[in-house]
Amino acid sequence: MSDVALSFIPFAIAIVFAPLSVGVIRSTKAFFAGRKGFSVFQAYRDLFKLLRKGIVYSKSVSWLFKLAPLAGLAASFIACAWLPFGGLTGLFSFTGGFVLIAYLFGASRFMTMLASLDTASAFEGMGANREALFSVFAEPALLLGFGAVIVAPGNLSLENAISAAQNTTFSDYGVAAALAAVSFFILALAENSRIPVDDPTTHLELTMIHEAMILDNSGPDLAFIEYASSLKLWFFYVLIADIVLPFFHIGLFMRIFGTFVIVFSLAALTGIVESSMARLRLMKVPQFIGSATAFAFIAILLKGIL
Amino acid sequence: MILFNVGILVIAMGWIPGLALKKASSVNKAGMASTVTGCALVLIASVLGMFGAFSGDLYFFSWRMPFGQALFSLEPLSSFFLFIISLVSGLAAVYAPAYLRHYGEEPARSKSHWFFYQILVASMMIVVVAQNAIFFMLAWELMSLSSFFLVEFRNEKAKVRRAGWMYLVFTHIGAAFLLAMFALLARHAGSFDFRAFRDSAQSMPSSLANVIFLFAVIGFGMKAGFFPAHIWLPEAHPSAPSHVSALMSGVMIKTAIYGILMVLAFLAPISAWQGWLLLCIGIVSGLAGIGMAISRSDMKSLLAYSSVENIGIIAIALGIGLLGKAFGNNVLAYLGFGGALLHVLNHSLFKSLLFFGSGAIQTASGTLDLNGMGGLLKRMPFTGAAMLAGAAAICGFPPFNGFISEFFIYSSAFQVDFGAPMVRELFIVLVLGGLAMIGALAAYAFAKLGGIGLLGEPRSDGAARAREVAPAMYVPMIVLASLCLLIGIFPSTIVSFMRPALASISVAPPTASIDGMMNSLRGIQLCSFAFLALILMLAVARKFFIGEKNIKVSETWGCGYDKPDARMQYTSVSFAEPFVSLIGPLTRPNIAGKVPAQHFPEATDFKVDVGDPILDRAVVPAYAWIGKLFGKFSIIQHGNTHLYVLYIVLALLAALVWGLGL
Repeated sequence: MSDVALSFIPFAIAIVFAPLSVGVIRSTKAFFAGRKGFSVFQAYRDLFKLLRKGIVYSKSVSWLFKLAPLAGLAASFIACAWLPFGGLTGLFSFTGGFVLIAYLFGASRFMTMLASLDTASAFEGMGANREALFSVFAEPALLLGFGAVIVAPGNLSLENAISAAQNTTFSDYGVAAALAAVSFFILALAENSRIPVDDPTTHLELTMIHEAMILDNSGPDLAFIEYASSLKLWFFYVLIADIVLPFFHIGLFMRIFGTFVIVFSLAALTGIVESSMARLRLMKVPQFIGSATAFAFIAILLKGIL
Repeated sequence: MILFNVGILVIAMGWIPGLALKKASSVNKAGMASTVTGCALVLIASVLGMFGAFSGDLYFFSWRMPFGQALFSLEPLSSFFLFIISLVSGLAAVYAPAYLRHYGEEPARSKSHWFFYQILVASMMIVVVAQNAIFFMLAWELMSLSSFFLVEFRNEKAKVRRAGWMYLVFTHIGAAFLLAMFALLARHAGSFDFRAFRDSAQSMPSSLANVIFLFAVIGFGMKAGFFPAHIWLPEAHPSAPSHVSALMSGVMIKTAIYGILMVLAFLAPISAWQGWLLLCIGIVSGLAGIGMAISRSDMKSLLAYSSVENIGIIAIALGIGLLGKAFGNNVLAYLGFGGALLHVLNHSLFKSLLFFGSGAIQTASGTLDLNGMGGLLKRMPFTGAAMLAGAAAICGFPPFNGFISEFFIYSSAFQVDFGAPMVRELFIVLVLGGLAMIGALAAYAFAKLGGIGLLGEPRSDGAARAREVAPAMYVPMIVLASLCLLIGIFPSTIVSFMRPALASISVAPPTASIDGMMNSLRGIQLCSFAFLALILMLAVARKFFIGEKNIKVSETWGCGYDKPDARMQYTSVSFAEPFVSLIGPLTRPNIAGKVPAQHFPEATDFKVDVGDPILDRAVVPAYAWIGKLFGKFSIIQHGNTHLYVLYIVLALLAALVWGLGL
């Protein structure tokens, strides 16, 4: 197969398997709650159900509200297409690509906030300003996290950083990589509205963050939003796998397999976190997300010491 | 070259025909016509100059001037700034007549407006081309004074007079430092000519260079609005007419950035501390500026604070460029100075767009208070769409231009090994973390501006009655918004335009690293196109999925409550509340009114006023103290002419004694 065709594989895998990680989280939660739970494929069925439905728009909205779900899904697509998967290089690979991906996620968040304010709803305004506030802490964590991965081999592209890490041993950059992985896991919880930051299954609008912003979305729009958020979750899980796996010095096929294992283990871990703890009070959330920044910060400084 | 001379003459003299006209609207038309013509000519000259058509040539106006000649030249760097000045000034002139109509039809006021406006434009142009210190300072003062009178356009309001006064004081403190700086430079070089400054740069002792650099940062920083010298911006910009705010915030404060770049050529070896200083000033300005912008409800005040943030980003980039020069790392210098120049251009585009938009909203809805806006995108489709594009661009989101300049700065973070342990890591943390946090705060502020101001339901009768403004007002906005998008999706083109300007500040990186950057820019371009194409494809897909099924329109979800009201929406104040209470200890907001209590609360109102901590707790007390101190000297100022004559005699006598060395 040619290189171009190969670089489509990470994208194809993400498109197909992303909702499965959400299914794994739900099944884990069901297991810990002592319920039988849905099948792990329920997330797919939900998406197809939403795609078949019509749309109800609020009287207050303008074209921006209709554009936001499209922009959000487009941003998630590009992020997943860009991300290397277990040694396979992604599409659009270029130096400094991580900055673009971070800003694309930012753009999609910005669109969601605007769209939620477009509905003239008090709940959605509340969701939007909470999201805006928490992103002030999440954004430095994301870029410093990337920085921590890249600072070690001193190269600006994630692909090169990963292949450089393959030639090193754990004692060189392993600690920094592990800290970056922890930082990204905290971000995965925060950015994808999981407990302890947000509860995607809550029924009380007053306590919502991300869900509050999409209260007025329905039908295919909601399907796009749900799909985009499962792709974003997938992005963070695969990113963690990409950082950790090179230190195991295994072949390409084992790395692809290992990536799958890590991704679904992380989904299960998310389910365990969600089952075992409650949401944080809103004003505690910045501290929690701030810890991700701290981990990334330490990971970067470690390079200076080692 | 004749283009530039004729153009600047047309602008500087353009107010004369207007004097003979009787109606305000014809005065406005005459002013617009001459400004646009002049700016178009200068624009062409500047494009030629950017590619070095006039490099090395020195021209002069045949004026008799003390201490030298009125020398000027169109080097690529000057031309780059000239391009920005002529573009935005021309568009602002197109916008102005329709906007001024809302201020009444007084011909005298229109005449004075165009006089000061055109003097301002011409003086800004001279500032960036002048090659003699005295000539530069003359133009600089002319620029400050004409913009002062423009801020005072509605001087019947006490708030406007106070704003203009503050601007005048700050700009002259800055000018005093600049005069001292030029005096030091001239004493060393033996002439006020910039050529002499450059030639003698190598022989300058480093202590003198350090003092000159500090004076330049303070003097130009006052004009640029570096924190904590930013406080005149949020006073002056909201008071000035909107196209003047656009010109001042988008262009005039950038002449200070030009000034810093200009002075760098007079100081031969750059020391690292200079770079670190600008980097830190930049990060502090960025965080403080945008942090205070979030709490503002006055749209133009929010935009003014956001200018402080953007000047901060430019200062970060300049600092990085200086570090590159200090450590002899050409790639770092290229990325730093390149990012700074590009952000100067980008900010002038989206900030003037947003100021034009705020003026359009003010004329259409009668308010600048975000708490009274809402639903304007539907009522003003062109203004609204252009402003949303500007908001996305100023936050640095792809596919708009703001991202490209920030990408330059991010790219620089990994370029240098400072040769000392931990320094590189600290630099990375400062650049990545600082810029990321500034970016997220900007998204907060502009989600508020866009979401509360333009979207949702109108919060006042004025906003509900708003209609789209005249094409002369929204076309300049659409032009600016399109430029923001074009730079965002064709970044490599604009970056190659900047190359001669960068080369003229002796930034010459190895070709390989320029190619690497170009490669990244092409990657960004590809992703931007993919992003836009995917949005289009998804829109088609959504149409396909919905098919014949009905799209229903209903009330917004309100927990089953089906009589939603515009007053239920989040307001500007409530949107900012979590952040304001988070940083409360720093800003100490002034909260007036009662919080509703008990089961049947009475009617109450609630007011949050977040002042500027620098203004309220440092500048005002300091000036009060100075006033009190110098008030004590009022004993000798009693109005008795006889005694004043005695003072003169005594002073002359003292001078005589001192002069004779007795």
